[in-house]
Amino acid sequence: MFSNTFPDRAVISETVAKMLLEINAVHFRADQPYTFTSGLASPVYIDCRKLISYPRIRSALMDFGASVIFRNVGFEQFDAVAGGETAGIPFAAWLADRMGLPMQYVRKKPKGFGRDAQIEGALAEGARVLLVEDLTTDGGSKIKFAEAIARTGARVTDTFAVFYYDIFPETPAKLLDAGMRLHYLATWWDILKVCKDENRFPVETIKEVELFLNGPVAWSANHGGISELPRASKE
Amino acid sequence: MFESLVKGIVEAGGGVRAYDACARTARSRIAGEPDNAAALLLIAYAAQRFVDAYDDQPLTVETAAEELDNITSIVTTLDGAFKGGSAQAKLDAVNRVARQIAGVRGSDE
Repeated sequence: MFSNTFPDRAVISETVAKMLLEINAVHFRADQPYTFTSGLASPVYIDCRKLISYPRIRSALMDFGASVIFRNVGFEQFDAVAGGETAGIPFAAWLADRMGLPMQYVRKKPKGFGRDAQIEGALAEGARVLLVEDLTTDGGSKIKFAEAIARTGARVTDTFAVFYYDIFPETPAKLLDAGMRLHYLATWWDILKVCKDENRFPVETIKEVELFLNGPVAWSANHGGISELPRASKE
Repeated sequence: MFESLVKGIVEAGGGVRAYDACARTARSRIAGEPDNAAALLLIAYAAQRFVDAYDDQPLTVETAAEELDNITSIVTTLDGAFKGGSAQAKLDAVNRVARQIAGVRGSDE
């Protein structure tokens, strides 16, 4: 079970940002940008999967996660915790353990043969589910996972991610329209603040990152990526 | 014939979602185009390989451009042979693309 403490939200965000920087999960590269799944060019990349290899950090993260969810939603509001394939699975397992709840995982698509299962684990009809992934960009994958869970008769009411990009303002509303409230621990803005406070990267790099965070589509257009977000996609 | 599949990738941003849509479109066309089934399946396979490779991995703009060149070359080869080519030309194209997808370099490459 979790530590039964409720740290200040700002402290959580700053601490998580520092953790991600400490394990080199944060990558800034303006000269050779990354391409997001939508085709958006970006100078930032974060690898939250690295967190699973750091037991002290992941333990603290799960305490933070449980405290955020219990504080925001309540203590008895869920029947299950489901992890989205692939990166969401370990975080869902640890969070389910912290919250004292059953766990399932959801595949990106059914296997296509055999049982053709998309969801593994027992999930009761009508169950209230917390969907877990490592990060949230535009929420597109979460909506697909939630739709798969809904087909079993259960319902995703909330979704949790360690990290939320927070560069597309409409994401929380989009998730809410799909029936889910979004919870997270840190965003790019928290990372940026720590980087600035601690002079973690060259000033020019930080300037480019800030330009991107404030105008991702314009930055993308100027760096070989798409200049317009495809419909129904903001990632 | 098949160029619209690459055009779709470009128009949809050239990222994982664009390739995923391409793979699904190519597969969905197989039922209605039995004579093009092998070519469409290879295109679907090539697009799905991109999705599997980069869905949860960093993809640089540079690599994305290389991957687009790669699938464009695959589609161009198949399009050239299947658009009125002989049965032998089609078979040659299918084998050439299959080798390309498998990463095998032949004497004609």
